Amino acid sequence: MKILAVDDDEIILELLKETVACSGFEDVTLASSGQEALQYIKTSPVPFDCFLLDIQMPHMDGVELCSRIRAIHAYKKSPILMITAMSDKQYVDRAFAAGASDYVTKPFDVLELGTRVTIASRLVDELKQAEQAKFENVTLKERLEHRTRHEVSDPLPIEDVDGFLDYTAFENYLLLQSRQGHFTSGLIALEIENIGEIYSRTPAEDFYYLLTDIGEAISDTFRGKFDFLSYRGDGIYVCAFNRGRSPFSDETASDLRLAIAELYLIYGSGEPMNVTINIGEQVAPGIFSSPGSLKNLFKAIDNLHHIQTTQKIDVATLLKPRRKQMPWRSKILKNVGRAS
Amino acid sequence: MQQTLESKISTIRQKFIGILRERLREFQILREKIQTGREATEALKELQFSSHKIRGVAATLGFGHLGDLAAISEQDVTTVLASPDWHEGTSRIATSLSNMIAEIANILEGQQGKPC
Repeated sequence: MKILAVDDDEIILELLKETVACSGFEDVTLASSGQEALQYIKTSPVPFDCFLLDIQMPHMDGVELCSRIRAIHAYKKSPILMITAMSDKQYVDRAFAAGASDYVTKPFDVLELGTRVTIASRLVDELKQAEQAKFENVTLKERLEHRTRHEVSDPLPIEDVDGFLDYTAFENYLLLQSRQGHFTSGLIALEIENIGEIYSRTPAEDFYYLLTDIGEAISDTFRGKFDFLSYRGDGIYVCAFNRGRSPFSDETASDLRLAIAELYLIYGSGEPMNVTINIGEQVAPGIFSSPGSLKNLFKAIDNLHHIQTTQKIDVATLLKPRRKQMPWRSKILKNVGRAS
Repeated sequence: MQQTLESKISTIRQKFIGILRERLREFQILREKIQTGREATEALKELQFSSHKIRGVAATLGFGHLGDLAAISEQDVTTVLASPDWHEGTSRIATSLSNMIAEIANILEGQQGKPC
C-alpha cells in the first residue's frame, strides 16, 4: 500500500513513517505541507492508496487538503485518516464532511495507529478488487450492472447527497465520539419496510438510484437538523444528530412522507412500489455508554423492531402515478448519460 | 517487530529531546515578552503554535505530563487571544508556561549523563 503522510511537524512525520512501517507498510511518502502533498499527488507515477493528514497546518489546513484530494476522481474512495490534536466537535465534523474516512487524535498510540492503517489497507484491497472486476466486463450496461451488483444487505455509499457518509466513515465518526466521551450524537434509524420485495423486483442500477433518491428525501427533510446520515444496507438509513436537536417530529414525518410520495416510485411494470418507511425510536446520547463501542448505533437499529403504527410512513395511499416518465427514472437516465 | 518499533521510537525520542533543548530557551524568551508586554501578541501566537506541537507528540514519546502541560498552555493562550481584553489573562499564561518550562528542564536534567 502506497501511503502519503502530511504534517508540518518533522517529528510526527518520522513517527508516522516508523509506525506504519512496523505494521508492514514501508512505501510511505512524507510531505510537510498541503501544497507539497498536492505536488506529490500530481507527479507520482503510481497513485497513492491511503492518506494520513494533519489538520492544523499553515497556509492550507488538512481539511481543505482532504477536500482537494477527494475532488480528484482517482481518490474518491481512498482511505483518508486525519491525525490531529484537534479533537473539538467542529473540527471532527468538518473533517468527516470533507470526506475523511477516519480520525485519530494526537497524541496517538503507535500500536492503535498501526491497527487503523491495517484496517484502511483492507479497504484498499477491496477497492482494488472492485476496480479489477469492473474491467472484466465489456459493455457499458454490463459495467453499470456490475458496478452496482450487490447484496440487499450491502452498505452502499450514497454519493453526492448532503450529509451522507460512507457507512465505515459513519461508524468511525461514532467510535471517535465514544472514545473521547465528551461529545456524543443522538441516533435515529429509518427503514424501508418492504426492501426485500423492492430489491428482488428492481434491476441493480435502478435499486441503487432508488436508495439515493430516498436518501436525498431524508436529507432534504431533515436539513439543518442532523450532523450526518448513512446507508447501512437492508434498507436501513441511520441519522446522527446533535444532542437536544432531534430531527424527528410529527411535522418532519409528514414532510418525509410527502417527499417520498413525490418520487412516484414504481416498478418496471408500472405497479406502485408501496414504500413504507419505518422510523425507530431515537437513542439519546448517554454518558454511560461504553467507550469505543457502537452500542447506541445498534440500539437505534434494534429500535426498528419495536415500531408502533404511528411511526410508520406508508406512502402507498399517496401514490398517484400520473406521469409515464417518472422523475427518479429521468435521474437514472441522466446519471447513466453522465457515466458514459 | 515490537523491539524494532521501540528502538526506532527511542531514536525519535532523542531527537525530540534535542528539540526540547531549543524550546526551553525560546520559552524563556517568550515568557519575558509576555510578562513585559513587549511584542506580546506575536509571542502568544508563537507559544500557541509550539504548545500545540508538543501537545501532539509528547505523550506518544513517553512524556505524558509534558503533553498535559502543553495542552493547558495551548488552551490558556487560545482563550486569552479570543478575549477582547486579553492582557488580563497573561499572568495565567505565564504560570502555565513556567510549569512547562520546569517540566522541560526536569526532562533535560534526567537525560544528563545518558548516552544519546
